[in-house]
Amino acid sequence: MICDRARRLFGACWDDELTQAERDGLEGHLASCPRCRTEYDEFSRALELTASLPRIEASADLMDRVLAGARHATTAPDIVREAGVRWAPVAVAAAGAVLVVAAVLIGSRLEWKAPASNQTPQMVKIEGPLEPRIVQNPRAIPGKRGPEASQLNSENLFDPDKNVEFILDPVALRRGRVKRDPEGQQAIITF
Amino acid sequence: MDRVAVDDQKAFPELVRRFQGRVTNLVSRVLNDRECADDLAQEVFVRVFVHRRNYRHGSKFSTWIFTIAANLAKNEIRRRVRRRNWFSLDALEETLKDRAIQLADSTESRETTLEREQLQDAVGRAIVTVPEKYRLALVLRDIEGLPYEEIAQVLGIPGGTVRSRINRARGMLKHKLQPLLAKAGDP
Repeated sequence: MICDRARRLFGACWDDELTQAERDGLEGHLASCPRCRTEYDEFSRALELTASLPRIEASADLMDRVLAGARHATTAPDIVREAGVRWAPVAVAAAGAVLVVAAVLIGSRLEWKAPASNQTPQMVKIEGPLEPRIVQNPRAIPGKRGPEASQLNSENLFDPDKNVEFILDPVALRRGRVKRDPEGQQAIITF
Repeated sequence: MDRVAVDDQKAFPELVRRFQGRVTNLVSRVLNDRECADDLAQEVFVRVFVHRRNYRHGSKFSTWIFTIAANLAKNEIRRRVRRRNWFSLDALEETLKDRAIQLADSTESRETTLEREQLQDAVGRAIVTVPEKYRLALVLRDIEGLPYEEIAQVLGIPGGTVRSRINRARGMLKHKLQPLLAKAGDP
């Protein structure tokens, strides 16, 4: 047995975990190698000293202190439980906030969609020789309001006698202007 | 422990009485600080009481309580390292040399009480210079005498790692005690 191998067995030898063959090999090596013998003697002496350290007894008042600590711990909230209680309202508040925000978003979405659905019937594609519908825009001509202004607008924008196709922009119907294609066959009114 | 878990009022003091010595000895040897060991031992038992319902039936109670004690001791060691409330290795080596000289110069029997106390004090101080992860395994094995399997459970590491840590710790301890062992070994 070589020295390295022998020294690796010191711990197992101390713990009495060597096989008989290992023990025989180690003992044979220690008998013939003074350096390893000295190493093993120092190793076992260090462990003997460690194992023979006197036991340190608990102080006389430890029991009283422990019981007082246990009493205090039962009256004071446990750290884990306290943490749970501390987080519960926060979680409830956060969930509530999420619900409120969701409700507001859904509500605003419904409100936003409502006018669009009202405007849908006005998205009209007029084909053939039909007289176009004019959406009244009181602000189109400052100072003129009502049917009079509407009449004036219609006269200015197009000729009702002409056979033109109107495509009304479905997006916004408040303001509009007419564009004609170069051949004058089609006019698009955007609002 | 089962009686403690169901709030049997006599059971907890009995449990403390049975384990207070082992717990105090473990943390004392790991920290080499008697006063702090008392405080930690108290904390260990209070935690046992607070978490009594978390104790898993069927597992060994000593393993559970040693796990709590080892964790608290580890925390204390790390706190000390952070605060650098730690004596230096040089100081330890000086102490060991002094002890060795005293032993060598002694004309009376080496087994006098004073010498034995000095030797034990030197060994206690040498143990605390072993790094924490090796020290805990060393104390659990060579002072508390726990089997390797239980040490693995207490420290939460594989059995092979326990063996290797204990081997390294023993080597370190022997190295640190070398001056003392050499002098003490002389005829």
